[in-house]
Amino acid sequence: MKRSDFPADDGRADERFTAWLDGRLTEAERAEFEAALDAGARDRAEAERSEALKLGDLLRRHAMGPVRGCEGLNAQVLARIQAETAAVDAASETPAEVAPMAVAGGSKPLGRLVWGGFGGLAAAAVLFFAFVQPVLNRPGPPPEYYAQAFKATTADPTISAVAVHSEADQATVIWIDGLDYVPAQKN
Amino acid sequence: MRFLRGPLFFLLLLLTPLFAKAAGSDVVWSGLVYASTVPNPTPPPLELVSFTAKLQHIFGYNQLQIVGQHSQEMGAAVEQWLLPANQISLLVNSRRAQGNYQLDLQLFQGSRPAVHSVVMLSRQSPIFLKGPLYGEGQLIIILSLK
Repeated sequence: MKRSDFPADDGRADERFTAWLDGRLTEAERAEFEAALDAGARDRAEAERSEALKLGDLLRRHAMGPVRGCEGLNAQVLARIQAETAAVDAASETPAEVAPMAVAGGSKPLGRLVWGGFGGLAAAAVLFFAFVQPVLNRPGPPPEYYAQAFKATTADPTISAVAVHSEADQATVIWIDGLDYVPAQKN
Repeated sequence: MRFLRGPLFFLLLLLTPLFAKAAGSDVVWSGLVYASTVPNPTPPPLELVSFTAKLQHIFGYNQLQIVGQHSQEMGAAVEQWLLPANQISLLVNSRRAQGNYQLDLQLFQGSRPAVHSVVMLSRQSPIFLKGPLYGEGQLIIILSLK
């Protein structure tokens, strides 16, 4: 249809034509619309409506139903594909071959998810114990590595105490001088 | 729930060393040692084998004998123990600090406080206190984290 096919185009001719194609005009509106067309325009309009009806039927026949929810989406799609394949080529594929695949797609994802998660966890643990923990356990530099003496004081002025660290012996010594001699005990 | 058994088993397997490590506790060994120089030294007691070379290098004596010792299991956050001897004794108060142990040491000669010291004991190195001269040698106090 061309715009020139509508002799009285008030700006709503397309809208009325679409409604006429869809059969949504009232009886009076339909009669008025058809009366306004000349014979050639009427034929073209009928041909266009016929094509539109064919296209609508085709779409309705091949349209897929809505997929409910997102759970097991893969399983639903797989089951639908297999069902349609089985219907088209029943001789080469039996329902018995299709059923196990549908079940496999429907019940395994949770198990796969758990094992997948565990696999990731195990891999992370292996990496941690192999690479991270040795670094964490590596002894740090002095003085954290060695013992430290923060304080060494004496109450008696005749006694002195000094803390020294022997790097070679890896030991810390509190060197105390001025303590009273202790005679050895005689057995 | 059968599919969870495998992951749980392996998870427990992975965590077992951590539990084992937490269950074991540290021990601080403290010993009062008589060090002397003799013509024919006897081998050091087993407890001193790991310290012998250090003690000989630092103090110069060739024979080591244990006069007294104490092993303190560091189970609680704060521990206290006494290493007594005839003329000298060491009172130790410990608390956990940064994975090691901070020790508050009070050395007494008789009943008289002689030295007060605060040290951080490390697992890798011991602490030696040079004590008084004793007999023909010297008393040495050792503190070691095992």
